[in-house]
Amino acid sequence: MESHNPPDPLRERELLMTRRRFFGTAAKGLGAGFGALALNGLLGKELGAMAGGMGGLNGLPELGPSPVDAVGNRITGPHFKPKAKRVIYLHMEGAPSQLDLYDYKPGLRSRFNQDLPESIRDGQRLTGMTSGQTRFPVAPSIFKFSRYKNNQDGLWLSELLPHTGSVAKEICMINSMHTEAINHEPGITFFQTGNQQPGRPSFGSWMSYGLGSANANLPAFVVMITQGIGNMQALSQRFWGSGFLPSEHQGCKLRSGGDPVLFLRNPEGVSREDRRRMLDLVGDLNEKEYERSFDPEVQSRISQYEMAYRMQMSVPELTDFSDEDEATLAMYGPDVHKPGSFAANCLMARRLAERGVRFIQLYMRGWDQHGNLPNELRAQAGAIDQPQAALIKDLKRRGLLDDTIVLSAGEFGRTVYSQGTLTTENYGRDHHPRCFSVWAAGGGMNPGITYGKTDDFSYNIVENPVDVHELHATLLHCLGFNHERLGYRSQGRDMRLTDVGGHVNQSLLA
Amino acid sequence: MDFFADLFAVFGRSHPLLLHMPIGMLVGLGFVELIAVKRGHQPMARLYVFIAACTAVFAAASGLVLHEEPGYESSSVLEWHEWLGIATAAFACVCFAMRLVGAIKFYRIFLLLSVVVMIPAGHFGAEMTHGKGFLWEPFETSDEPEYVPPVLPKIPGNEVDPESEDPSDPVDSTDLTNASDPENGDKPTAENDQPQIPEPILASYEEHIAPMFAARCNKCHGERKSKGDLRMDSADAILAGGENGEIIVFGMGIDHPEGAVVIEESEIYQRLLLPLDDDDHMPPESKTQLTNSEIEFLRLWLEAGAPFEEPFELGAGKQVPPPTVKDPPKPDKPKPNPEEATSAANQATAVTPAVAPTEAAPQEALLALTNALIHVQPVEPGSTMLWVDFAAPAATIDDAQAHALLQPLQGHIGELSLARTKITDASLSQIAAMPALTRLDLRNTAITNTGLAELQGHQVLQQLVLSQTQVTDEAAATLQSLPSLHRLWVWDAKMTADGLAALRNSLPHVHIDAGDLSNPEVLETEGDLVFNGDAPLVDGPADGEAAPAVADVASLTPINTVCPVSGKPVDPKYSVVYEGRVIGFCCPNCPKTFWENPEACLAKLPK
Repeated sequence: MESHNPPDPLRERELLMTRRRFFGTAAKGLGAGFGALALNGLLGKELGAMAGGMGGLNGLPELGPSPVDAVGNRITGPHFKPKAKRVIYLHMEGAPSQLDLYDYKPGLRSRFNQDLPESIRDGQRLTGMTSGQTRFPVAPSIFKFSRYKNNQDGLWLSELLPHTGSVAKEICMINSMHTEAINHEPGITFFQTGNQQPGRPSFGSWMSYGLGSANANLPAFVVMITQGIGNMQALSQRFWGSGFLPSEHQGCKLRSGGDPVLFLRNPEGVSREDRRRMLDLVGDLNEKEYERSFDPEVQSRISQYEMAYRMQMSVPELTDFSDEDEATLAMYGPDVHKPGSFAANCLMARRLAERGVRFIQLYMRGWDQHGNLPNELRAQAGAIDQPQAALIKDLKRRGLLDDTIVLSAGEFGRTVYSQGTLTTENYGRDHHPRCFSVWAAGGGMNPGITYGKTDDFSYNIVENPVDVHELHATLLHCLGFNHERLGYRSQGRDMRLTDVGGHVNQSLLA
Repeated sequence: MDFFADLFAVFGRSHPLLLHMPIGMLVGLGFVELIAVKRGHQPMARLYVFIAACTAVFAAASGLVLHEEPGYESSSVLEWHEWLGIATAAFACVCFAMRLVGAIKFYRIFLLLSVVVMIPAGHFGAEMTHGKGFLWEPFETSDEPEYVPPVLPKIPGNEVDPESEDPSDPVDSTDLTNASDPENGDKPTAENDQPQIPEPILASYEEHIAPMFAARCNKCHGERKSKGDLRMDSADAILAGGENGEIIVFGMGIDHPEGAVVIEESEIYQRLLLPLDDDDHMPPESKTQLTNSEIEFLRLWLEAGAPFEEPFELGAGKQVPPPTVKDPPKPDKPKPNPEEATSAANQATAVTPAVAPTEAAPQEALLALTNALIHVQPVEPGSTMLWVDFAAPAATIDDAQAHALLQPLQGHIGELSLARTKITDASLSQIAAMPALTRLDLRNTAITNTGLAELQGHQVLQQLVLSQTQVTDEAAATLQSLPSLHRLWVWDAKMTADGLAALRNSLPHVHIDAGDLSNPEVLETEGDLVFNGDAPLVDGPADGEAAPAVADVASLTPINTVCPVSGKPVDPKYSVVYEGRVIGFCCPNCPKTFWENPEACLAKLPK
């Protein structure tokens, strides 16, 4: 419990000094760049002893063990024994309609085109896109739902997700999520960073900082993007930014076409040996600059150069699907051969997971169905259904699902009333933050359950609301962290992913 | 009067401040006089000597006041400190008197005396605050191993949730009888197929509880300090309790059996469970807290009646009901569904806890691993057991490399992943000799039955991943010999359907995943969907009249066919309602332009 308080900047600086000295010698001549250890009480103790001696000068408390990850970044390490070692986060960007996928409301079928009751809407703010509408006609889902056997009384899913039904026993469905934001940018920012305003580290960056890399050849936090079929919203790089955390913790985006990572390849005429010599020299220069300025960003730069050097070897092997057998490829569906498709990215996610990458985030764009929802949703759900079910099955049979959390979530939900024209074949839905559905599987999350209830209109939560901080705190718990202790001091405050809220929801834990 | 009493107490507490003044002044004066003697200078001014004597008196007086505060039990160290301090002050006063009357020789003698007496006084004082032997500690090569918090062995049903909000949650102890003995960890069980008779795992006050108190409690509740009049460094002292009474409450035979510890009333345990910011929480917020495992140790000790001499059982609680198996395996019928085995598996497995080695893993061996880009991390914070994962360099790792890297860490490896490496059966004999190994991942390697057979009888192995290996039906014998096994993956191995069924049949308590996830089990599907507005309105019309007309679907059809912003044809899905009229646009961006200045666009719309 020595590290009860989040890091203090002064201590950080001393540590950096110490770490440079320690790794400065180890770095030379090792392909790895840094000889590094992720061990409490081993290197941690050494560092602690060294920095503790310096700490005495400032009257700072003796430093606790401070583990270092596989690539030499200082991390916090888990607070207790984790159930999950990594996360695959399927972000459904644009907010999928819970009413047409997960939240089964058969009663609405006999309320077709009725006005949304005032007592239900209850003065809820609306977006600029429907605030001018004179009527709010109830639009029941036109999709049939089925109940799949899970570990409770069954999981309801719409006909758009038949494959997902086959993993119902693994899924922890939360129908009572709610959020604060009503528009995409703040909504995604809130879901990724715990705050609506930009500037905080994303979940993946926190995990890179907390867990570190388990594979020195790959970044701890990898992001992949699938272009959707439907209406797409902007996707900012900062959604996977590291905020005030050292910048080596930001997400590394793998591209689907051409080079998976830009500028990774050596230019024509530069051999790997040349590259090594160049990196050694640049490293020495950077070292000198660091000794002068103590700017931690110099270190980030050094470690990222080294990471890139190793990724020159590891990425081509990672992205080559030729070692996958036919049956596995078929399981992910025909799109798996199309680079950048959700299917291909799901397979890549599994490959990254088995290689020790800690946080793999897939963005699936195009869920923003303000109009023409049934048609667009059919295509969107069709693109994700088989791959996401295959991902879970594939992880499971390889023994990876026990310690991998798969999370599927959008930034908010969609309204029960139609935006624009309502017919029995077509309608649209506006943004709805008061309730929506997300699900998780594996990694210590309670499998095969449905949690939380909404009212008959899927408009308000009537049972067991779960807010974003609560979900984050619960996921962090599975990963071995007390969300109140995983912090970093910035702007005079100990910042957390869960900001000032959140608690661990025991019902969601296995 | 209270104010003056408080002021008095403050005076006492300024002892740590005041005591430094005479040290500085008297020692300084000593040096001055030394030089003065040597060079024949005049002695120091009287005023300085007066101030030095005063500070010595104040320091001694404040020390005496501080002694009155609770928590400073008399001890030889304290007494020595006290008398030497008083002596210092006395000599300093005499020294000043001699200076005053001009008896310079005596003045210097008494100065020397006061300094000589002050040095041990200071030393004893430091021993009180910093602990005995503080000064020479750096020279001491400690024979005692550093305190490592005990880790509770895993016993089914007795697992401590490391982060449960309230550690006082009663721990389910239904399955405790299944705990087996860790001692015969490396004894192969080939000859004794009989289920082992479970033996309790023992712990003792001497070995587990006393070191914990020594590390976590005795700094404040020990020989030196006894805050709250409580000492926890001996059995008698613990039983005696402190100023708030006994800290371990024993039953009187009325509500609780005589001699049994009433844990709910025993502050030795309950104070640990208070919220961290509670004033009564122990250890205080700023001090090192007990781990949940330590708390659990303490609870088990108390539950056993707080024995100071005899050992107590970890995992033998108050009552030990027979284990209940929800779904007893039927030997003649294969299990139809592997999923259902899980619940039974959790109930019936006899898991031998892996014993963590007491000393930390050798550092050079860990460095060698990380230099080879192999991930290594404690299985949990503070544990000496390691999770070792060869993921990064997997493609280049062969038997020789794996052997060289793992050899020095044999006893420390708790979880090992060699997935996707080039190892062969040759590596398995080494792996089989890892006594603490609980999870082994051999996925996608060339392992065959021959190699697997090396694992025969491994006592603590719980999880085994054999997916994508060459293992066949013949491996069943080895798998059946693993007493702790409860999770097994054999997807894409070389097993036949019959062999798999037989294996499942013979290992009913093991959850076996062969990748054969059952097809979706649809319990029901909606029939044809009928859409109407027949349901009664929620907010209901006041006078019970029929629901208002809602069938006006056309009301949300745009009034225009051409987008007023771009002039392109309207797509009805992008429409907004403005002043009761539905206005269509061509794309999602045009409505934004529209809202910026609606009036400008209205002119372009049909009336």
